[in-house]
Amino acid sequence: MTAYIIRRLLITVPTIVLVTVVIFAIMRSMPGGPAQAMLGDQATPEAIKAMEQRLGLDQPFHVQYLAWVGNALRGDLGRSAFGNQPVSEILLQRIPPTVELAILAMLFSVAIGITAGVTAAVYHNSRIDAAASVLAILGVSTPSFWLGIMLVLVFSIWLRWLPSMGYTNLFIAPETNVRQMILPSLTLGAVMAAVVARQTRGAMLDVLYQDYIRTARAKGLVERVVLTRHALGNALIPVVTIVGLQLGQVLSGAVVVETIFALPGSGQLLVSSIFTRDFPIVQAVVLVMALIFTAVNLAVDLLYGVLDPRVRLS
Amino acid sequence: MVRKDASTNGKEPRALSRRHMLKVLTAAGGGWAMSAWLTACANPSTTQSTPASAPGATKVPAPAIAKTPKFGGDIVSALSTDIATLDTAMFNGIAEGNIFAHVYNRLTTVDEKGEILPSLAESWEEDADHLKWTLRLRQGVKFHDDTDFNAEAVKFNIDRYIDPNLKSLRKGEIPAVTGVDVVDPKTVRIKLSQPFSVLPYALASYPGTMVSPAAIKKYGADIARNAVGTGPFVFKEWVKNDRVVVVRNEKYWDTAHPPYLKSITFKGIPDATVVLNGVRSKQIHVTYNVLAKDVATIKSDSSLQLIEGRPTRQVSLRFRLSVPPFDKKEIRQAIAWAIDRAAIEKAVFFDAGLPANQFVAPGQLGHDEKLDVYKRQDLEKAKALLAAGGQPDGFRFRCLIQNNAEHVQMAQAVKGQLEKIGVTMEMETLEFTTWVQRQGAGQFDTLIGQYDSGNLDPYQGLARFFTPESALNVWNYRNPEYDKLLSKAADTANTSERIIIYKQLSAILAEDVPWVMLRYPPRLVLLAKEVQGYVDIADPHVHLYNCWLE
Amino acid sequence: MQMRDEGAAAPGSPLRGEPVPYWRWLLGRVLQVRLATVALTLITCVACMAVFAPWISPARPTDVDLTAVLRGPSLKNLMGTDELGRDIFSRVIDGSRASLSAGLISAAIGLTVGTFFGLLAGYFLGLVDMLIMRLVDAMLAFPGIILALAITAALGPSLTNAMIAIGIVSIPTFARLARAQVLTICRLDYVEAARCLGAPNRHIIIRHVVPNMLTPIIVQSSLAVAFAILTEATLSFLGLGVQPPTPSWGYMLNVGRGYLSQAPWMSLFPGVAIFLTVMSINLLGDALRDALDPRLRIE
Repeated sequence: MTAYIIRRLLITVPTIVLVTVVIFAIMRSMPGGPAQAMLGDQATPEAIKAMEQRLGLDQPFHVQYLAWVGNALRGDLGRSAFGNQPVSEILLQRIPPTVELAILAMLFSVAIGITAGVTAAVYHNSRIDAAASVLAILGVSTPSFWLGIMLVLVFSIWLRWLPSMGYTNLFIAPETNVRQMILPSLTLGAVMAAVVARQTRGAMLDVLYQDYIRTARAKGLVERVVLTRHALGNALIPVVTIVGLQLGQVLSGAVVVETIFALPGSGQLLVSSIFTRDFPIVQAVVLVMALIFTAVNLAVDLLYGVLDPRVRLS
Repeated sequence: MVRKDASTNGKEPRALSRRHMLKVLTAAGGGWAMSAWLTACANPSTTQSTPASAPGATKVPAPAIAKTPKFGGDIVSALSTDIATLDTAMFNGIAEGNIFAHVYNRLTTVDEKGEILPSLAESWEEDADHLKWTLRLRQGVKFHDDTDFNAEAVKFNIDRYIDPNLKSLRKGEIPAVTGVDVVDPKTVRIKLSQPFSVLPYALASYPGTMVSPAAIKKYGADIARNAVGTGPFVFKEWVKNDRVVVVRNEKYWDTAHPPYLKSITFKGIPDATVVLNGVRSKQIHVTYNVLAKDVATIKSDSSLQLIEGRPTRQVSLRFRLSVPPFDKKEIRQAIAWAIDRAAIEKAVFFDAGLPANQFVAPGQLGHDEKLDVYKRQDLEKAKALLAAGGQPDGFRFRCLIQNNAEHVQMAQAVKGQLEKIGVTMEMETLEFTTWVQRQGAGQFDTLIGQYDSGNLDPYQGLARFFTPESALNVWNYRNPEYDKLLSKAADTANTSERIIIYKQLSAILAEDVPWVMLRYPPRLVLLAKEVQGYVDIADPHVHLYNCWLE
Repeated sequence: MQMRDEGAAAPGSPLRGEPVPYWRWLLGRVLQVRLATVALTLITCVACMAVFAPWISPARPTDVDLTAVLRGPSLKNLMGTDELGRDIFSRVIDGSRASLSAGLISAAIGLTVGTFFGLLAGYFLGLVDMLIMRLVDAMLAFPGIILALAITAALGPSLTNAMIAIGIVSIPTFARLARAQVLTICRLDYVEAARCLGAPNRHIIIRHVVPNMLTPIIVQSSLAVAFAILTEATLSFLGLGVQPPTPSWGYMLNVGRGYLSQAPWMSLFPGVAIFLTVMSINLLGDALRDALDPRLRIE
């Protein structure tokens, strides 16, 4: 097991290197750079050139990349092209809101999704199934930005129950924080809940018609035991994969949700940094997201081994 | 300036009457820019001084509001973009300007009518040779880091702005300034390479911003994320892409006009719909990020106030004059005549702004109401001009648009109207940075862009876009007659004489059409009802230091 | 699915020797689900709309009429007009082209490329698996929208580039899913038996592996089409998508949300269009899934 984890971690290295190369290449193939973004349409070509020199953007691609890798390995992620702030300092401010949003949304979606999915599968072809399926379909068919706007319209502007934007540190003002996080995590969680529900239902249906379930039932086991001990455990395997894969979706969704709710998280930071070509920030955020994602992936694979003994981790 | 505020209507007869007058003038054909300013504008080269006992007393007239100001209160102000830098030498955005307006003082300032008033400079005087200005500085002012504001500080800042190695954007805003002499601790002499009669206006703008020299030396490159000035608010923190917080300066020098608010939080939120939702749900108090289409909704909401400032912005369709068929003046004129600007303003922007027919906006000196071109659509004339330019059957061209809602709508409306003379416009919408890159590199045939001078005096825009030596003249516009007139304007100290020259320059541009002027967007400020005491001065920023929260 | 032991039992597969052609049989099965019939009808309608758009729309979708902006639905303009006086009905019809092509082409890119590499990785394992999965991991490690956004920003905003970007983004999901399926199927007795008997790889893959992994792949395809349509809308929301004035539902929705209080029809109809299309595709996916499950067929 330990050997497996170590090997997996080693495998991660090329993945991460690949990620950084890809984002480095994409960012630098974009038209315009941080100088144009900052100085705007009234800057002279000289001013732009001077700024590019200051930011080291006049260097060849591989020199820039190797310099960045060298610094990153020493824990120095560089400084923002705008405002000269250390990127690590910016990340420390911007990652907590996204992590909180992601966790809340994931919890919400897993709780709702698995319950709905299992219920729908157990009562296959009944009205409950139809209702759950319709709800799940509604969920996956709604653009999340649309849902977010509707929630704001109803709960913030009409009813004035919840704030429409902003973020307060959880540990400084827990109540404000929770109130501010409700709408964003609902928006983000709803779509995911629908995806999880659909996958759970599918997986449960697969499992429920297997011979061993029939055997279990024939043995006279109580249906609840059949469902929880025999069916759900097996059905969870593909669901775990999907939830793991959903993490990518969470971060994608966070981009949109953070924009709608003006939530100062890393998704919004990433999008605006792409638009303003703030290379050091884009690279660092992508790197961190890739690390998180890889870690979760490893966890999913380990869970896989726990849930399905036939998958040997070797 | 038109103010909509149900709660204070009737309680402020003096302010209201002046605003009414302006409103009537606007309604009577937009001539207010002329009449109001010609009477109001003092000649900036005359010496002004303030009684030492009441420093800044003439600064900004306190609004006549019955309610007494309250101390305390935290305001959230929404800016239209994220903050790129806090370095006053390098920034280029209205968002940063809004923060600097609170942290810093400038050497001079302007009031509601655009009149130049003392600020850190108490008085100024132009030498007889028009090549030197002498500024007398306010005494006893300290930067937020407790260092003294004095002549050395002025020299340090201006030298920094014009330092050829720094490539500051401020240099282009005071092109004639060659250096500063310290006469004594409270007097400086600014040296010019050529007459620059609009210097007091320029010093009321970005190049007049005074930063603590000690802070610049201390922070080095990190001055881009620190702000140490003399202003009514002290910089507290910048959380990147989220907020900048400034807090009340307890030791502000202008004791007659103390800041009331405890703090101001600036948040960059580009999406105007998100901002409006935030204002309605009471999380944002102030913003200038308002779309024309929301004006009616805002006016019908009694919990909001909408202030309409003088229009200094303009949106235009810009040509690269070396690309056929735009090398022919007739073709450019044809396009200018084919557009029904009034119909677009009414249908798409609900008459929030004004149709545009000349470079100088109605809120600037030298806007010519009488200039009778492109005020209405004339398709016959347009077709005749197309034929004269050798394109009787029309043609196709590409146009770069920024992907912001109002620009895209404008472009689509223009496209629809050009179809009537057989001209097909193909749109290419780009994110802002790409658009900037393409314009700067001259990689375009035509594009639609917005220019916000912010200044009352249009000299800067006229010089940087259309003179042969300017790097920003990417359209390759050349007209010796224009250049000659423009240098005459720089040499003319008398405002009313300068206005006449500006009108002539506008007429030349209208004839040559390097840019087809489309509209003058309004300058809107949206305030929650709780915000009191707001004064809209003739400057592109939202100044909150006179405000308090009810 | 992992547990299925009748690997070759996929309906219509040659091993079973059923006389009915696979796709006709499948259609028959799908149509037995009532909702799926509705969904299929809707999808056919949308497809027809997309194909025949220029002939069925009452007005040109890009015709600006500044004298008739923000009009509510009427007999002349069935869905009202937008902020530039254009007929929303015509724009919704024309917008189906962008949305459907974005959905289908992006999903097709993801499906073919992703499944192909997933199959290779899962079947051959070893170095091939290693290389492919590292690449897939790298792509998955990007949040999808960010990758799509960055690619579109680099290529320049246009529908084609958006489709390429969304297609690329959906590759890794297919690859991982396909690989996971192949891994399980290859462990089954009959596949190992076939291997022992010396059956060529190509034969094993086509005869045994592919038919058995179809179910989740088809379900995933329906999700991918839906995902692509929604992602195109989101890219438009963030400002990188179809070039105006060409209508796309996502773009119309994005503009319309700014006019929510003045002209709700501007966002209502394109929203409903996205919604119905995506929902139909999802319903169809569900019906396919049910139809393809041999167990359900037997009972």
